[in-house]
Amino acid sequence: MLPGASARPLALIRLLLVRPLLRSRGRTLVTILGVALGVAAALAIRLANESVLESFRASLDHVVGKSRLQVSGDDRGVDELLLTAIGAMPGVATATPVIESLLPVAGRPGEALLVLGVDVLGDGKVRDYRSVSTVEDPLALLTDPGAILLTSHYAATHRLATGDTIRLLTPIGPKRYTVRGLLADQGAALTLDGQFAVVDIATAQLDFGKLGRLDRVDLVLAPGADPDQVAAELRRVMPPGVSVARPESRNRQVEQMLDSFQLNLFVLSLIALFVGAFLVYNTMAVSVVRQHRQIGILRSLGVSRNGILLLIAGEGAVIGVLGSLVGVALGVLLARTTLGMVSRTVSSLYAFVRPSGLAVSASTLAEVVLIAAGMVLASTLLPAWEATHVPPREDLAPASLERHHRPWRLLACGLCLAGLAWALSRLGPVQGKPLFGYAAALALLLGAVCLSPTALVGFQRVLRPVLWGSRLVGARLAIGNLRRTLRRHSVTIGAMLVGLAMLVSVSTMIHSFRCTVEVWIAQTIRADLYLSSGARFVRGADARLPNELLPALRQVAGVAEADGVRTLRVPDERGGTFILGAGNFDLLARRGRLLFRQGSAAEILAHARSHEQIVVSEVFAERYQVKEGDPVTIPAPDGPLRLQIAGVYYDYTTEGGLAFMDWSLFRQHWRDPWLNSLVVYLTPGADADQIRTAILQRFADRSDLVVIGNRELRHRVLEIFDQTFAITYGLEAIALIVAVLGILNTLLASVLERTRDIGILRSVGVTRVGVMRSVLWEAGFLGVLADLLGTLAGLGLSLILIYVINKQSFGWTIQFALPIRLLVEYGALTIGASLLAGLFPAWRASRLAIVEAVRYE
Amino acid sequence: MIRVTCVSKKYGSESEPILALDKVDLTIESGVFAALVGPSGCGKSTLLHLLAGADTPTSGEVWVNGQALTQLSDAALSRFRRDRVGLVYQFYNLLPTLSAWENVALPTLLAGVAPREARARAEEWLASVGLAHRKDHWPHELSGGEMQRVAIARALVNGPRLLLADEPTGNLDSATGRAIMELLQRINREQAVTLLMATHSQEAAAFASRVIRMKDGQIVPEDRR
Repeated sequence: MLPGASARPLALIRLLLVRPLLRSRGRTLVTILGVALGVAAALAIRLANESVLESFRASLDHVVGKSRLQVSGDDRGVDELLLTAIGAMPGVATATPVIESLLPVAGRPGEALLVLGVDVLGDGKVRDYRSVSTVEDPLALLTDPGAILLTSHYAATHRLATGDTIRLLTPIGPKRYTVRGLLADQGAALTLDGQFAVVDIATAQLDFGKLGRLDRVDLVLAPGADPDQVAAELRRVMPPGVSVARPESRNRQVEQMLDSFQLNLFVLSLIALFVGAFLVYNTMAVSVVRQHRQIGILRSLGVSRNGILLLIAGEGAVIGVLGSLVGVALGVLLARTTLGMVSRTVSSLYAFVRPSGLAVSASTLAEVVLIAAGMVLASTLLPAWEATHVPPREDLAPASLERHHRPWRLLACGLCLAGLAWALSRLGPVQGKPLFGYAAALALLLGAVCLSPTALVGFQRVLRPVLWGSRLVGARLAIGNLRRTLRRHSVTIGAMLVGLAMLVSVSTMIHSFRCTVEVWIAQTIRADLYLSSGARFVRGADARLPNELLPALRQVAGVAEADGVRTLRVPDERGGTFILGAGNFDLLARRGRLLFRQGSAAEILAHARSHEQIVVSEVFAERYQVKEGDPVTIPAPDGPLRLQIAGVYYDYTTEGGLAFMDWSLFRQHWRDPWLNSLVVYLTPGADADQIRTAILQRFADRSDLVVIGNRELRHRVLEIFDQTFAITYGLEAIALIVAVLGILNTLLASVLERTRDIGILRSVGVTRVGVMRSVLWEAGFLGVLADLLGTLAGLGLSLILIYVINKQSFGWTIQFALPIRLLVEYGALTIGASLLAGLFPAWRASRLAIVEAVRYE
Repeated sequence: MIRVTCVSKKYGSESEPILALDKVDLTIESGVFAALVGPSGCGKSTLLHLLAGADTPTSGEVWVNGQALTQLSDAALSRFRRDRVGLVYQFYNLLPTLSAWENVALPTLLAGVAPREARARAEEWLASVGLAHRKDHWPHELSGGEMQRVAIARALVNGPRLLLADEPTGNLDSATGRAIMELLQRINREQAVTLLMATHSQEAAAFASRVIRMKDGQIVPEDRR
């Protein structure tokens, strides 16, 4: 404790802690801003992630109502004849049929309604509906096959009233519905922020192509009935392919699906905070060097070592607390933007989501603030500990601390950390999460930071003789100062290096991923035209097309060959789901270019077709830990199928893995008359645009049909790719801004400390411009070195991202590609930012009055 | 009373040690104003640092007012510096972020005195060194002589029985230096504070009642007045 601190702490805190912080307001504010930006980035992502999940949970909860069990099948649903049997089971009070479909709204791109087909007279026992307007003719909902109920929120937003019509893209084509009533904004009507509608079950079966089928049966149990017991009994009597589960298991599926995506995004968002913590370390370390003499005076006046430790740690704590407070406010503001970006990405990659607003919970705020506090505290402790070793004497200049700095020890430490990073990167995932990969990345980053003093010494040794032979006086002075203040400059370069390394690594990973996808697209997207329902552009929407389209399509002049692809989401044995696909292997072997891990595509596909085997995507193989030749179990309507894997191919379009079989095998087990998309190969010389027009004319009654050319599809895939990674670039930019604040901070401190030196330089004839040049040269040198080291560390880090973290999180193989243009741009940006950060300190240095500066203490 | 017995102090590495003090024996009676004179590097400042508890000897014993400093812990040495000894330096060493009265009040606050009382004592001491009118000024607004007076007030505010001064006039012109010496002499007489001053200046040394000469880390036979 500070002697006397227990008795009179406030006066001492004011004089010894607050006063120095206020005295160097500029640097204190820059550091607080750095911490605030870091906290804001992390909090914004955390809040956006939470809000997206909360929106999923809330939507499911609203739709679930009072049901405690759900009986469902795969994408094709369950037979409606089971409803009576289920309702008669002991313990079941009510069994209600449900067909649930996400249907895009015609003419409103990206907009969709979750339409629930229910027994309109009986569903009130399960779900909470209140109508705001009296339904004119309640029977019309049953008798009118075009009747629909909308939520009053949706109707108000889109200026719709009872009697108006709305067109939805259904699997049988676009269909116009008449609004027969509005639901009050409560209960089920809150689903997807009001983008919800209800139709009668018979209408849904007809319009959604599910005659005789139900998506699921929702069960309300009798009082006192045990859900587990009822579920076990149901499982015993239900046919194969039918599952019985509690509704909350769907929540878990969504959470599992988003887990890796959200974890990676959150870890990325922590980078800015990590750089912010470095900024605090930088500030505190510089502060200890600067206040060396004052610390010595305080020690000579009787302040103990612990007192000094508390003072310095207290300074860090003040910065941390203020930075966190500002960061929380900024983070909540920023989260409103990131929420839109995260929900768009989740909607285009995983499932349609419409968060009603930002879910700000105290626990999320506390979690981020605690992480920030931990990082800030950790970054303050080392400088504080060093400060306690300042002897209680006044004759030690700050440079003495620099003299005791030993770069070679840090070099050894850096090499050890690099070795540790390599060892950690060899370890596998923990429960599907690349925890050792993250640890390897952290070790590599810290290792690179430890190497920066040695690099600075080397840089200075190489440049010094060159510059001393030149006329560049400013550069000569700057290079000399770099060596003299090795420690402080090393910390600055460290902070800049971390920010830049992260930017370079993430950019290299994204660039490599994009190049890989580009090559993959060029090789696999071979058909001339692709047909699908417009609903396909809303993730999770029911985008089926009847397979009767295929014969008609083949008759269009100019079409050489056409076939379809069907995909179904089916449950796996672990409680998750994967995608089962079916297509024409013969056509794929002849025309397509699936890229297999081993072997030739044509041979593998022909073999799979003739031997009733399947091919699986790389993600599937990684997720279920299977390889070529292994057997896998596929749930089929008539019982599980045990099939051998003929080959594993690269695929970057599906999340969670895809198992693909030939039509001949699929049709033996699935009686499914639907397709998800159709591929068309044209006769040689045929004009794609003309044939596209001809196809659209041929299917004029299906105005929802979308025909996309080869080039357009490739473009669209890359567009979605770029949109997905937009938020990542935003996060990296924040980290770099924080790092640039570090340079500003260091140069300001450097100028303040060298006030006397600058005065002497001025007194021997160096001009104001000369002083400015010298400070700018110093800033430039810092920028160049930070760029070199940051780029090297970033490239090393990108290898961990590509081959460890990404591979273990998502299962995709990415080929490394160097983003040369980006690296040059980042170099220019780093050096430019450094010079910009040096401008104010340089100006300040040039304005110093000689007499004042020379007597400066 | 100060008693130093067979004290040596080595700096540097084992292979190339620099002997700053070489088996020094010295006794100074309470209430004496002693001057420590000798060329640069003779060990004057090192001896002062040992007496202030700011450094520890390589061998030997240092006693101040009956207390063996070599046996004190770091915390006890901190308390010793705070309460029992005052230090005045050549370059004043005022904290630039504190005003004149705040600099003087700091040791009192560290000792746990209430802020109001600490301020009153600081202002009293500033008045006694002739700086009542400059109490709210920042160090950079004061002249060298004024800064040294503030430093002396700070050194004495907790009522130590020993005042150590390291070249207190080394950075001042001769007129200001003389004024500072008169102040120190007055303090020595009026407060009965033992005063040990390291100096190069014969003029400053002339104010002392005892002159101790040092050379090459050793005490040389001295004059007594």
